[in-house]
Amino acid sequence: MSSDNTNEIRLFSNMQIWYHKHIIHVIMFLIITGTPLVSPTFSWLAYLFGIPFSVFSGISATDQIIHTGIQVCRIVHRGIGVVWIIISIPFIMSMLPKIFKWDATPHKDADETWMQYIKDGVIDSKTVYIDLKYPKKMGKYNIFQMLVVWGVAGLCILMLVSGVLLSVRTSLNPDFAAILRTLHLAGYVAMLIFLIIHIYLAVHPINSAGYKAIFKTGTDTIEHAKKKHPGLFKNKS
Amino acid sequence: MQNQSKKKMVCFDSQACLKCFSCAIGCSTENRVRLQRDKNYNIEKSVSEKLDYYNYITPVYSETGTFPNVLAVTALKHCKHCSIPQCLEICPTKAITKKDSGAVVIDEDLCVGCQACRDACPYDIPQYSPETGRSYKCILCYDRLDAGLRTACDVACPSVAIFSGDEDYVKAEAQKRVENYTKIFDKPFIAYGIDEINSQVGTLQYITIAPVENQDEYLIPKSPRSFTATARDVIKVGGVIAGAATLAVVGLHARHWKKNRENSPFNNKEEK
Repeated sequence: MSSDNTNEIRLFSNMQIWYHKHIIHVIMFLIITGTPLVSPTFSWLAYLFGIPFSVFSGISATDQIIHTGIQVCRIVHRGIGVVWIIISIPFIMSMLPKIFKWDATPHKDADETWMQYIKDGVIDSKTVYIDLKYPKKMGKYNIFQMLVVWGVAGLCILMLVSGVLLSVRTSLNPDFAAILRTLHLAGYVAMLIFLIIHIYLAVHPINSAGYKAIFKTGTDTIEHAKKKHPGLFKNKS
Repeated sequence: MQNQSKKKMVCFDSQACLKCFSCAIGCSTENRVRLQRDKNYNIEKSVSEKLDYYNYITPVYSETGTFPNVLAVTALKHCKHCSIPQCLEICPTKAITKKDSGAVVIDEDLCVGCQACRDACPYDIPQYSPETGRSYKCILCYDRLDAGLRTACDVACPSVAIFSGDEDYVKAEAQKRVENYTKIFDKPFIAYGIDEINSQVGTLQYITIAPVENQDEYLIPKSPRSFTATARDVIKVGGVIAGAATLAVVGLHARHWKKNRENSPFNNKEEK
């Protein structure tokens, strides 16, 4: 967090903006190519992927087009997974040095107990999302956002690790591979639920300044930030 | 053997088995003949290639008990053709179909080798071949049964320990044998698969006659369950409930916002 000029405060670095934009594309492609691999219920999606290839290969039967579509999905899904790993490297390298000072890491006052910190965080979140008023103590993220940030980071690691291992599953113990597949599926469902909440709150007027910051400027006005994120302007231990 | 009902069945009678394994050889031979018929293989090629993934019956030997009361058991590991095939439910390419005869068949031309079928199978049956990148399992000789012929393992068996045909005929013969064995050996026997086994498997088209006390050794557990299939069901139901609950909460919050936004500082245009 830094100030570019006297009226603005920087909420997101250029690297964070760059990574967030790219991860949207990555997750979108992973979902549309991964969904047909989950169940034959979504074979219509595989069919859509198979159609362009059927034109060149000359296949016309529906089951063959689905077969081709599934193969396309498997290849693209793995390729996009590799892209995700590659773009994550510079992001992680830039975030690691300041991970303990990051706003998504809880920072309580020196004279405050953890219980009080959590209680105030919950009350602040209620104030914003239920009472629709400005919070009293909230920093850049509320307590639930902090939980979600770390939860999603863990989820992403789970998806990447299980996905990479599943791509070489013939070398693994079949029972272990079955567990990995189940974890990958559970992670996928959890990711979908997270995205519903995340997208709703991202486009909600309550977070319009944050939306502008993450997609465009990376900054917020100090006047607004002091009202919405008063905790940003306090010294924390 | 009559050819009246569409449903077909095969039965392995463990007590009549001589352990000659002609069934496994007959199965492999029949599949090599199928390659000549369907894949343009000549006889020499179909005989000389290893093609171990076309051996749909695998004998599995085990010993149970303590010396001197040891029982040697040879089970036959093969697809049991469940009435609720989990492999079919999970296959993303719809490469697995259930024939009118009840046979559950992998179309190898449509299989992408993802091995989801193996993960979902409560009996751990489909075998993946790294050589071809596809999965294989018994097809219940559906082509032979549909043509009024007996399965290859049945034809090969010299002691009628395997018999196949219309479901009614096989069921009646199996039940008769179970009654006889129960009387002769004075312990309960089962024709495993005639009655529903559990909600994940249903009934079977490839049934097994064995002593109840040795079901596990004969690879016919009382209530087989696949971790993947069970977890998948839980995730499916949990996902739908969680997704619906999330959408409901989001909808309620949007309604709450719409009703109360007039007095909220976040409704200010300057916020944006």
